[in-house]
Amino acid sequence: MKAKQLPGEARRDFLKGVVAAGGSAVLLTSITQVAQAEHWDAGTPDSSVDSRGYQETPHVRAYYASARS
Amino acid sequence: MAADPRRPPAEDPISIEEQSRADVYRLLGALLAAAPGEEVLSLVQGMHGYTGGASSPLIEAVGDLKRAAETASVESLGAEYYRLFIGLGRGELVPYASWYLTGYLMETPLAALRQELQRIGIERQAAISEPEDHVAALCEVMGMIICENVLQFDEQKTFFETYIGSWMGRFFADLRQADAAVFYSAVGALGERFMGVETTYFAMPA
Repeated sequence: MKAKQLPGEARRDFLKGVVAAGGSAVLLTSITQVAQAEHWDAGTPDSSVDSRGYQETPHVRAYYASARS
Repeated sequence: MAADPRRPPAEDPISIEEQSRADVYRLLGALLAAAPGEEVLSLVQGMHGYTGGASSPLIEAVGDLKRAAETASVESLGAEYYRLFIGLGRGELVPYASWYLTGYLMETPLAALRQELQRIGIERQAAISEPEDHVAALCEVMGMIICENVLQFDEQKTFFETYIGSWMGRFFADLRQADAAVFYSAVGALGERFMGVETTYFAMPA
């Protein structure tokens, strides 16, 4: 007789099949750590920016520019 | 994004499967926050671990991303990212939840998300100026929620369905098909398949 599988185990088995294969998880971890470090380096605060509230980003500036035209 | 320092660290380490989910979110977040630099591009080009062993549509999409990276350069990716997300006047895509859900930027979905992030103790770092409903920020938040056990399955499911599943699949489909997308078309395909995986995962019994 097959033991009834717990819901959490079913989810884990599902992930095993589609997301985690072999040593891939470890490899991705190193990529994401470096990628995040690059991103944070690029995001070094500009002392001229008021960090207390809303800040315009290139995306938002571009959006408002297009809305004005 | 940063976790609230008042919140105690997660007691239980997460499984390798959960770690893999978090890593895919973080990879997508990192690639969408800015164009990859030399080191990240080199690492993505070297993702040979994914081409051997077991396979799935998601893992095949990671292989496609690796192959797209092999023909890219930091310069080409910078130009592609600019055309897609910044542009002259506007990029080809607007990568915000508010835009996809309401047709406008900085709308009620952003306000609701900010309240929810405050409730669960995640805050935007001062150095990051993007609104929290940017696709990269949300991917990073979800990676953090998984890695640090911020929310258990039921709450994770609600967070996913409300702030991610409601629009991000459409965004990744748009990214895959965008005129300016070459490398980012593979990013879009990976994201689209991953959203399918996450939707199935959260539809499983709690």
